Amino acid sequence: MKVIYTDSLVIGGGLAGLRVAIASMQRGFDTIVLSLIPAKRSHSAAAQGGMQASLGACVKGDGDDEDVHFGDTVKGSDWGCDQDVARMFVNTAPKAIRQLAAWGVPWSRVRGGDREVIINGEKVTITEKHEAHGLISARDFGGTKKWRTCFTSDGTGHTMLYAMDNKAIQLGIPVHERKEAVALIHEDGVCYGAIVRDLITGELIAYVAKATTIATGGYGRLYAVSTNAVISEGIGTAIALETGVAALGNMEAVQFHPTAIVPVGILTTEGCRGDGGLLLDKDGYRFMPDYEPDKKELASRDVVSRRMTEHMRKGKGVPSPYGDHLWLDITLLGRKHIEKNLREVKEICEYFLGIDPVKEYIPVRPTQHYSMGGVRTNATGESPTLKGLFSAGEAACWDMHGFNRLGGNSVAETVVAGMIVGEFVADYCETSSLNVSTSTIEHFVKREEKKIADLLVRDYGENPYELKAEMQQIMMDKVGIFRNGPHLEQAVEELQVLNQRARSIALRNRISSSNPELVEAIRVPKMIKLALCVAYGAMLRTESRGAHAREDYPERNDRDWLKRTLTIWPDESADLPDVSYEDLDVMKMEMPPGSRGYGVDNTILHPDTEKRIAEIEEIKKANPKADRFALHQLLNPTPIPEKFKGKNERIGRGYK
Amino acid sequence: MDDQARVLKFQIFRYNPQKKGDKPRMVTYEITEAPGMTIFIALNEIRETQDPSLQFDFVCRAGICGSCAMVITCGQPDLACRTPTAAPGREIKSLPLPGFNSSEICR
Repeated sequence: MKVIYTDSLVIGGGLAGLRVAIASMQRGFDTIVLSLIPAKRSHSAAAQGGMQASLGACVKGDGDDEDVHFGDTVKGSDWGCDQDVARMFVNTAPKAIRQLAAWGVPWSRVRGGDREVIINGEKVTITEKHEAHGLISARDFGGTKKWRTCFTSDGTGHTMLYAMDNKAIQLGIPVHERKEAVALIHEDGVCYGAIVRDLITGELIAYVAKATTIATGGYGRLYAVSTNAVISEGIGTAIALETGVAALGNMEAVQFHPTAIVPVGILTTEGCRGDGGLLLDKDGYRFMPDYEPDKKELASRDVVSRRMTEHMRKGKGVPSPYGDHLWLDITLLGRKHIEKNLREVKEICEYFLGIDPVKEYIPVRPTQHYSMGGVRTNATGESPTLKGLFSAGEAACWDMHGFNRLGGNSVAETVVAGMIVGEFVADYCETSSLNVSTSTIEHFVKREEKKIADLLVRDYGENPYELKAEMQQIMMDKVGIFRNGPHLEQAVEELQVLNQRARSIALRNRISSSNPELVEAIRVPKMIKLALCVAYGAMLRTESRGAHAREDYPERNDRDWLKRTLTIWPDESADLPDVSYEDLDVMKMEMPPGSRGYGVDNTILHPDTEKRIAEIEEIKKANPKADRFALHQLLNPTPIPEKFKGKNERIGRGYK
Repeated sequence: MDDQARVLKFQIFRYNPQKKGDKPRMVTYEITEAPGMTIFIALNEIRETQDPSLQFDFVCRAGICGSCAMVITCGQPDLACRTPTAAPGREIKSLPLPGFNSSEICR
């Protein structure tokens, strides 16, 4: 039995994982990162449009601060987020972005003076302040009151990941590549690392650690078409589920991005619309102002995706051999702008569509993009039920996104959660000692060895590729943008059948070393379990909130559903997870539930909402001298680590 | 469209150093071309329907991450995800990038 000991084991080498690893290494703990692939190829590199942080340096970001960012994030989440976490996040984001600048990210900068931009389809001249010249600039994104999304052209994730990985290299953090965690080691409610399969030799290795962090990204590939990388299969989330102890949160909260290209589903950034691009129908008509007169193309993602789907259902989509789509028009932005700020989009259009977006419209339609759900953690990033297990980034349900994430808030979450959770991981390493017996480790190694051995000897059985394709189609057809009871019930039934079939997978290529079919056979049963969590959670949630839109329950129902879905899978032989709910406490909210300002407000109110609004008024009256920082402390005290507590400076405003 | 669909011939360099006695060789696979097919789509189809031992790497499949760089047909290194099968002609050769050590062959 090969055993590797460390203090801090991080599963996943994208932005979140690397940032957690940097934090624990800087605090002096032995740290190892596991990655399926060379870290710089992680899906973080594909983030295009930018990272939200309220720097307020560009003129359209004037007046921005943590509070405005907080309001946008909570509203965007349809009040489904954890407000403590959202507050920690918005306060830390400006520090994260400035730290990344110091580590080498070449953020696009403000140029003082006049510049021409496109706003609402019209050319407008805006004048940047000369004193802001050279500061980090920002672009407009959906669902935000200010231009807050900082960027490096449209390769933001790329520059961030390269800087982050270089920092990790500088600190000497070992990244063990081509290693896949297939199970967590745990005993009596404490996690002690993971059983890891070497994807080249096939060897199983026990990585035994004090703290284990899952940072493996989202589960987009449960769907047949997704903007996500092909490795975003949710395996990290699944091994947490398979402990039977750790809970997953809000798995039914799945985001569909309005503008992925048809048919392959590669993303074109929200920055296209943020910079002035428009959505057009088959008649070349700009339809979004009819549905959302206020925010138009820049309504929140869930809203735009639903409006596009509604419009196509009215027969206004452009027919194609791959089904209907709509047009994204960025021609009005001009060649110079596209070649500088949207160059990745341009390349994608050239290579994958054979068109020039400077002159031609881009065929787009809403496509699976982001997993708001994931490993449920408390505000420190630790699983409330499995000690020593942490999670950060898209893999986690830290829960700053609730039921809809704002564009630009995901790369921001990766680094901010990495910083904050990384400190708590280090605290945990400092205060805990490793008390795990070798027999426990051996038990888990043997269990995984047996699973693989069984796969390698079975003569006849199910084909893992076929099972996966069936699962992906069920998720596409029945657990999509608009959902309804009958479809969801069918989806759950069909996925249960797949879950049973997945117990008898047989391989054609029966070798234990480097073997893509074996990798698939290990992953697919895990993915089907995750798909069941998503579909079953969606079936049970009889309301519409953010990206979870029920045709049969169109209203947001705060009275009965202001709660987070928790899913555990305690019985290995079961075909369904156990679902329970965690109430969101209105009486502790800094921002009590209200209207998001899209369409008709048909919210069923929570009985505490009025009470909390009145209470907040009283607190404000009783503390007339409290500034906004003192009010945060009174309304929403949060456990931000000491080193990130300081105030953020903004041009023309100082630290106020 | 189906009437004119071409049959593509893929010649792929195969060698698994993990497998005792395995020797480097070129293996030929045939598949029917589909509209908009890329080498990414084609290789996955070959692996899923013909040879589950076929090794290759894709991550973003969008021309961003660089994982799928390989030598295609006329000795040109390119990203397989964004190379349409229409471009290299009916016979497509695929080899690992030069300089990769044997444990990384065919990635």
